[in-house]
Amino acid sequence: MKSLKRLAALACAGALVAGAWSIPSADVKAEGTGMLEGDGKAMVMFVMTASNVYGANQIKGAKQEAERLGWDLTVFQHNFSQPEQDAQVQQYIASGAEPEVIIFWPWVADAAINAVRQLSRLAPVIQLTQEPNEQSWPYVQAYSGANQILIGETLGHMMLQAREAARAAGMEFKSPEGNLLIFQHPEGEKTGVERMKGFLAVTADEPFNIIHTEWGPNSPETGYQIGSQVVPKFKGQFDFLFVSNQQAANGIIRALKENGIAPGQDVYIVSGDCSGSLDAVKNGETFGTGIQPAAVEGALAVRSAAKFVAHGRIEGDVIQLEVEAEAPEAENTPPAKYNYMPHAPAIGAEGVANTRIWGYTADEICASG
Amino acid sequence: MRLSGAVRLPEGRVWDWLPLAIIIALALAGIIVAVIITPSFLTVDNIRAILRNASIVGIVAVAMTPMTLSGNFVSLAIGQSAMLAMVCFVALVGDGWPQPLAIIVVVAGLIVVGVMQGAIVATGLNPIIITLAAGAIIFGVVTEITGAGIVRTGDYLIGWGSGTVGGIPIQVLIFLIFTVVVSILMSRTVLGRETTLVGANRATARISGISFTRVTILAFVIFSVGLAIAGILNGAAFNQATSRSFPNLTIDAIAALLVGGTAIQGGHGSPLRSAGGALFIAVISSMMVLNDFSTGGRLAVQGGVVVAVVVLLHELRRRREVR
Repeated sequence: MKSLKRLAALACAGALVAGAWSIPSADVKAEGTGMLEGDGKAMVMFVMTASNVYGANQIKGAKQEAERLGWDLTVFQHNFSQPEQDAQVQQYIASGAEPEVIIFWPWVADAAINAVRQLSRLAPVIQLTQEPNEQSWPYVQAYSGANQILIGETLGHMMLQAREAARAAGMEFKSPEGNLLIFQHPEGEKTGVERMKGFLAVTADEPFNIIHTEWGPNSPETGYQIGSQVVPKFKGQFDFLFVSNQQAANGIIRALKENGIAPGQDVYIVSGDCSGSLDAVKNGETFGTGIQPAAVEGALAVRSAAKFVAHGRIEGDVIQLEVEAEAPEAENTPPAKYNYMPHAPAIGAEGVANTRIWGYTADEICASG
Repeated sequence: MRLSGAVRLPEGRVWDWLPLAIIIALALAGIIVAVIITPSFLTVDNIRAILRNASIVGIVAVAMTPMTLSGNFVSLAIGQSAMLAMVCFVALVGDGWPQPLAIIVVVAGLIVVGVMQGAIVATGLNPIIITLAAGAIIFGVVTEITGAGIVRTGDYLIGWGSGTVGGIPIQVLIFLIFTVVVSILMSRTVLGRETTLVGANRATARISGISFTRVTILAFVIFSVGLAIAGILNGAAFNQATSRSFPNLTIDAIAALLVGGTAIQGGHGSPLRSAGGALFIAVISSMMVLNDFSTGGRLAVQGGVVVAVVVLLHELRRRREVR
């Protein structure tokens, strides 16, 4: 009798779980509203904290665009924590809210699948910054954000230019094409993996000799902490540095100088994105960096969400936006499956001064919150 | 400053030097292993890097030792308070203030913040909760004021932050001086001995006429000075700061303090041991970086070493007390 009860309980639990997983995502209105303007309707956004420069800019751009298009945007910020984001999602769903569309940046893609699944029952989900994976695509309508392959390609092009500049300056390389030391995103992080693909593709014809990859630095402090130990180990063996972002590069530059290596003369540095102070790019210690405009990413996410509500469908695979000094008018067309923001290289002080994307200067994009 | 041996310390002679000897022995063992498996470990550049890396954490761990010794556990506002000092120093210098004046203002400001926390803790409230709340307030206020942006010195670049004196990096020199000063303060003055006694046995200390309030506030003052120094040194080295500066300092400093053998409940420990703890962790960390340990592997080993050393020291202390 006891085991029968247990069996029944297990069967019920199994049925509940199976039922929960089989609940379809929100009915997408295939017709759409036909207009980008929200008329005060609710749009919700789950992103990382605005206490980070990138997060602050992303939210700022999203809010400005939402206001322009007449959407009532609510933003939930988590402090670099997937469990915190999960809790926010649960609370939001429990509140009985009925948004028209949801913008969702999962902090840990694999761990956020249940959150995105639950959100998809409320409204169409547009995923931001981190591309959906195989498990999350069934619950996501479109991706809007950075094109990590393009960022890697841009970094590769800048690295090739750095090599030409170094040759022109009479620098003697440690190997025919130059030895490269890499400071990468944390090991296994998709952002770093995708960027590396782009970098390797661009430099495939004349590949750098990669002597070592170090993982994890993402701030001046951690850049210095790791750089101050790695630089002495490889001192005299590298010509170029590939650094995940300018924040980390700023710390590694300090480590280089303390070890008697002059950045911009003895070694050429290129960073993948510009989150951080651009002083080192302006004074030549960093050869170049990628300008990744978080505010534009936020604005584009709102546009993509509004477009999806307007048309109720996606059209085409990829829209890659080009760099434009001023924000283009939002076109009333369906979003693509992948909606990529623009990304620009900035080499030296001139490159920084001349870079302007959707009305934002390089300093505003990279260093201002 | 009165020098006195009037208050009897609750420690025996062996316990005075044994934990430090263990730390030194472990550090030496780590160095020997590192030298065997890492050819570039014993280079001047690498040793300098280890010392530099140990300095900031070491200064903070040393500064926090009186607080822990006095029975006030540890602060959970370490990273945020040092960040406050760093942001303020960079902002003031960037605003054109003379550096000496900026340093004085930052140290004074941090002391005020520390005294406020100390005064609340001295009323009997839990220091963990108070410092946790203080850290959240500091982080929130700085983030709001700076708009999460990067504060820079701009045209007023600080040149001495990465400098050396006689070949010794400035932060290493300050770490050394600060450790000596706090060690003397704790071992050769009435204040130091009172601090240890309050941590070892608060009831006895009260009967002896030692003010817990005074000791606690003074411990927070020393702690605040250390935090201000750490913030100023990093500000001078990077010429920029954000509210996200010092992301790992709280955990690193607490780990250094515990590895150094300072008892979390107070009464046992010394600033010198905390300095040794910081150095030991820096040696282990360097060895792992030079041997290509992954980030996860480094954290796991570092955590494991901290646990092992703390358990070992705890066991030694327990056996001594049983005897």
